[in-house]
Amino acid sequence: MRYLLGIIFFAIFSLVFIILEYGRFTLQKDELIQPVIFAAVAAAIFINCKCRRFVLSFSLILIIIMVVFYLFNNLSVSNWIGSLGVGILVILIFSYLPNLIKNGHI
Amino acid sequence: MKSGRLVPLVLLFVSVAVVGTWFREGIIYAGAEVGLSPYFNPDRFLGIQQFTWWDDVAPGMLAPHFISAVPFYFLLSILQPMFSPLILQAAIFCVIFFLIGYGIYLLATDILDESRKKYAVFATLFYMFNSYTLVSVWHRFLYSTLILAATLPFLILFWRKWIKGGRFIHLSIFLLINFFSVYMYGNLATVITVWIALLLISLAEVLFPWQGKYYTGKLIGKFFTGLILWLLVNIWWIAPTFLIAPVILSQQHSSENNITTLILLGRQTVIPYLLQLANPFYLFYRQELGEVYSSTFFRILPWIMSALILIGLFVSLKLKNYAKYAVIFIVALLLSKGAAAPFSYPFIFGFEHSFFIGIIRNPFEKLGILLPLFGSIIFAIGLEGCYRFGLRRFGLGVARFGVFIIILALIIFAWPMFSGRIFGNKEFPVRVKVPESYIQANEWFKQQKENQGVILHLPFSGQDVVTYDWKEGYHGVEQNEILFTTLPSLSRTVGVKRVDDTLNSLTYIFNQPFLENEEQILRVLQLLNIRYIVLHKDTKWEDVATYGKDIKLINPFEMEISLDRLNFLKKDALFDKLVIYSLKSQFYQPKIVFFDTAELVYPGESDIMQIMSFSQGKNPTITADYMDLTETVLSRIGEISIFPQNILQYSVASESALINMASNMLNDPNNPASVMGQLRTIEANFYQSGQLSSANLVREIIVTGETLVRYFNLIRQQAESKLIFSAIENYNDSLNNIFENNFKDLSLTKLYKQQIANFFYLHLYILEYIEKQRPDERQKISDISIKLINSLKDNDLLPVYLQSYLPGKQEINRKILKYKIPVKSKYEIYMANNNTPDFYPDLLSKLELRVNDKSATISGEIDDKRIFLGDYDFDGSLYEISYNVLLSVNLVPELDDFLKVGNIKSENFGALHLTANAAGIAFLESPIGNVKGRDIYKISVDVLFKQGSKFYVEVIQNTEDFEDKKKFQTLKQGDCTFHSCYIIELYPGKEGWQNYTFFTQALNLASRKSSIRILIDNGEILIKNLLVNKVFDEDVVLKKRVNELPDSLPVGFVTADYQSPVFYSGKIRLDKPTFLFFKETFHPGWNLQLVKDGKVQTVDNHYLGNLYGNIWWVDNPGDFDFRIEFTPEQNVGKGIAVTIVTTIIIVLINCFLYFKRSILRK
Repeated sequence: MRYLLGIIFFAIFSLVFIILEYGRFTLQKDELIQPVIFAAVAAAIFINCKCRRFVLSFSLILIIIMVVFYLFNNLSVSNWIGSLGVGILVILIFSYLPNLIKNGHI
Repeated sequence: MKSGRLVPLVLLFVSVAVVGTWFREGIIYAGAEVGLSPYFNPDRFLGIQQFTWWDDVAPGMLAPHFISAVPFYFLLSILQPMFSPLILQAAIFCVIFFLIGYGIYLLATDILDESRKKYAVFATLFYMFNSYTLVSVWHRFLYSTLILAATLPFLILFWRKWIKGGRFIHLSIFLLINFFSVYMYGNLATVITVWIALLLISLAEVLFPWQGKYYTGKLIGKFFTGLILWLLVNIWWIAPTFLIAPVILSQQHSSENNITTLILLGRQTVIPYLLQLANPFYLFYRQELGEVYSSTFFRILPWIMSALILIGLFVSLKLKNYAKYAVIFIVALLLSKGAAAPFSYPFIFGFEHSFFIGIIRNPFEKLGILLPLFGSIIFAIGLEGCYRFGLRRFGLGVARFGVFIIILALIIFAWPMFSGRIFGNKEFPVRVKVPESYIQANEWFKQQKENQGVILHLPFSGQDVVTYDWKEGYHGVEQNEILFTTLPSLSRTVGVKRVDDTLNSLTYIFNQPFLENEEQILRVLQLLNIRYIVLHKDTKWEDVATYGKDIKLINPFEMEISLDRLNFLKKDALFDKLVIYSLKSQFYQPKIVFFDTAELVYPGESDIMQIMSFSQGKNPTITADYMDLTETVLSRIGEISIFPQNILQYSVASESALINMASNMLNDPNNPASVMGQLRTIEANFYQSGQLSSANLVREIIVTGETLVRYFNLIRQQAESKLIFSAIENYNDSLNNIFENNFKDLSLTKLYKQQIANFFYLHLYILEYIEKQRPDERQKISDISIKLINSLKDNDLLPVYLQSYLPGKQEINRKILKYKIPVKSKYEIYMANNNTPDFYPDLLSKLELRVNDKSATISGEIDDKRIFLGDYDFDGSLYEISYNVLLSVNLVPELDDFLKVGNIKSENFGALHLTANAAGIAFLESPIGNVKGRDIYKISVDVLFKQGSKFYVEVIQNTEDFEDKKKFQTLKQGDCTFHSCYIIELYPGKEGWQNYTFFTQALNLASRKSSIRILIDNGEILIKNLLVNKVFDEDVVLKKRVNELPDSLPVGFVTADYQSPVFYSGKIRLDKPTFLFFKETFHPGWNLQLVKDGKVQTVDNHYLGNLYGNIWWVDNPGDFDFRIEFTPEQNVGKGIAVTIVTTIIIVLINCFLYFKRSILRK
């Protein structure tokens, strides 16, 4: 059941993140990567809250890699990794909204 | 001393010390977008900006949103007699610097709890010295942003107190701070920034944690009370701004422009820069604060602060009172990044559907201040977390050293603030010392008895920016109205397309060949109310960075010789590089004049010089809907001139070429050289340049092509009928998608009109072919074809009378001019004669002039200025006149006679072999014969690429650095700097000799010499058969003589009193019905009233006069008192009244509350 729910959430989130990113569904294959990762992260958090610590670590690692690429003057890669990391971080923080609304903190 | 006093004292000391270093050389900062404002003569600024109509920026300009600057200018104008501009600027900067620090200190102290209060100092340091404040606040040098940065912490402080505590005094202080900082609302985006900040604070207060319905209801009540009172207190500037400004903004920026800017800036402020709060354009791309910021050390520094913010973010999320600020920071980050990834689309969607939010099309610059503001709280918490961690893990010394290093990094990064190199860049340092000659010239004007009219400043660029070679330089907005205080100055455009086009005549009339027509020059000066001319020989007239590639000013030293020769001008005075001329008294005409005869002109798309060449009489022109003109007005119209409403270049390839193109499209649609391939290149270019709307439209057009190809292939494969039917339905749907959109206003249809038209013409040709093959689907295909043709016609992509021009053996090239005929009648058809027939053998016989689908007989009477083509009865309202686009004879010599530079060898078969490599470039150059302004050339050349895949064709004009031979020596790889520079690239997959043919852009209107240059910077090419033909491209003008009337005679007398820029009054005596011409920029808000025997009569017949001003028809003669008033200004008066009443009510409420509290205390 959880597996099925995961797939359904993943599909719904994929559509949401594609719209949020591009506003259209006619995409090149490489354009799909970020929305799909965002959808996978969001679905994973939705299904299993315990994975949030891992997601946090993942996003922080991405941001650190972004800085490394930036310092080595590879802006396009840095931007791609950075926007992925920040996107995941935003999803993660928004996943805490119920806690924030209830308690005022996480 | 308590920190409550110590901190402001230290901040004051730091402010004085830091700002003192900026002014140590005793020079003020000015230029760029702020020009000389507000310190150089603030009294003059106040005089101009207190009105929504600026008459001192001649011929008059609507500027409602600057009215919010009035309190600030008022304050400065009081201080002006006591202090120099230098002292004023230094003092204001010092106050702003102090307030930026003190405001955030108070806010941080208010937010942080008792145990963390000492970290408010670090929040203060962060807010003062972070990358955003360094670049986007100080270096950007916009006063609205400076004041916003200083005020926003105070606004949030008192707003928080208001929504949390509900004390009315806090709301009153909030409103008072708004009043003192109202200057910042001169930039409308500031309104959005401030209210987003307040909304976020209010939402966070109620949501994190959720406070229940009652609390929420109360907070909503407080929010709207605050909002309504803010609106009422600020209505004095909101009313005129928001009632009038949207009209101006929609004229100046289109939705497509806004989206393009948003996307381009989104590509700059990408996440790696955003997280550093860095504006990469100034800091890295243009390196305006020094190359040091691109060094590894300086690239590492801001990440220390970013890391602390990230740490602070996570620490805050775990703390009950601070988690809300972490969420606000994240929301601010998402807002400030605009269209940058991730989650790019919501912004684009918003811009596509709301024109208003276009005012934040640069989100990082407009909303970005929220990042350091809320980031400073997060930073303090992050720093505290690190300090405590360090203390626990390594001890006090290491923890303190760590904090010291962090603050040191912050200070080092903001080093230009301390070294005094915060403003401007090497090229334009925005330091200004107004030359003494300007002061002297202004004094000279003050002594003149003739204090009427307008001062024209030359050279006129047709823009609002200028560069002067003053001692410290000046580059920025043109502000002669501030330097010359006695009379209005005409030195820049006014932001209304029709008027600006008319003013652009001032760019050209002082140059050949227009200079030969002295009467015409005098007429222009008289119509624009010019009394004096100031020639600025200190203008850096050749500066491409200022004026762009598309315009080139005339050398002012050459212009001086021309002006000296004009008989109606008198050279009055010379102050260093300023030369003052005056119009001799007998030639000057006042601001209000009368005419009893006029010409009716419909300018359409034609430029002002074309229009002027056809209306050279002494009568004024009016532009109005014919049906609105009364019988009496029509009886005083001498002539009607109609210029084309819309111009379309229409080309149909020969049938054999069409078959070839259709075959390519159907059999190899992915080939880059095919029509579809070319469209894909156009799509890629639009994406690259951020023009998303146009790129999306090209994509949809390509999809129609792909659908058509699929349909054709299904037929060819004899697929099932169901599939074929589905394909044609898809094609029909994709066509509908395209034409349902806003097709006409996009860059695509402006830049690639011809290509799009040709592409769809190919569709029609293929559909016609299929129709013959599939008789059972004939009706369906025919319906689609008809619909497509109608859509193309509706969107001005095809001429209405298409059926006469089906493809034949020869290519067809016709110029189509569309006219809206105001009144059915017989009109004479003319073209301008620019020595035209000499270069186009058998011109008149080859023109094949047609009116709609009928041939028109050409009588062909030619005089010096015009070619008369004949009469024609126009009995409808919409007409198309078309003629064959003719090519002149070849205008360049054989290749062997070209100037050759670099490694160039002649080959046996008449070709030249050009070789270029790292050792040097190679180029050929030759003058083009018979050049005149606005020429368009067809260039054709055969090329064999031996090595490399690119070369350049440049068309150089004498209005550029035509004679600058140094340029040849400094040309480097990739150099393609001239106005018309065309990159010719090898067709992908093609080998052997290839022909390249293209049309150039039109030359500058003032150009009189031109050369063609073929240049290669890397590789080897062989070229032969170079042809340069001028394209015959004159507009056709329709003329009708309505009444045989003599030139206008003096018919009235006026004594006018100048009351204010928005109100004129006086007495007039009219001998007979007349046109009254008021020489201010046309606006429907100008209102003329005549008063006689106490009866007030409003004159309704108000028209556009002389293509820029106001003309009224007054049909009853006699003696009158008159009033001319700019009525939208009344909004200001009403707004001020509401503001005063609201302020009094607020004061009364506060008094009541104060006394109530006092009584309760007792």
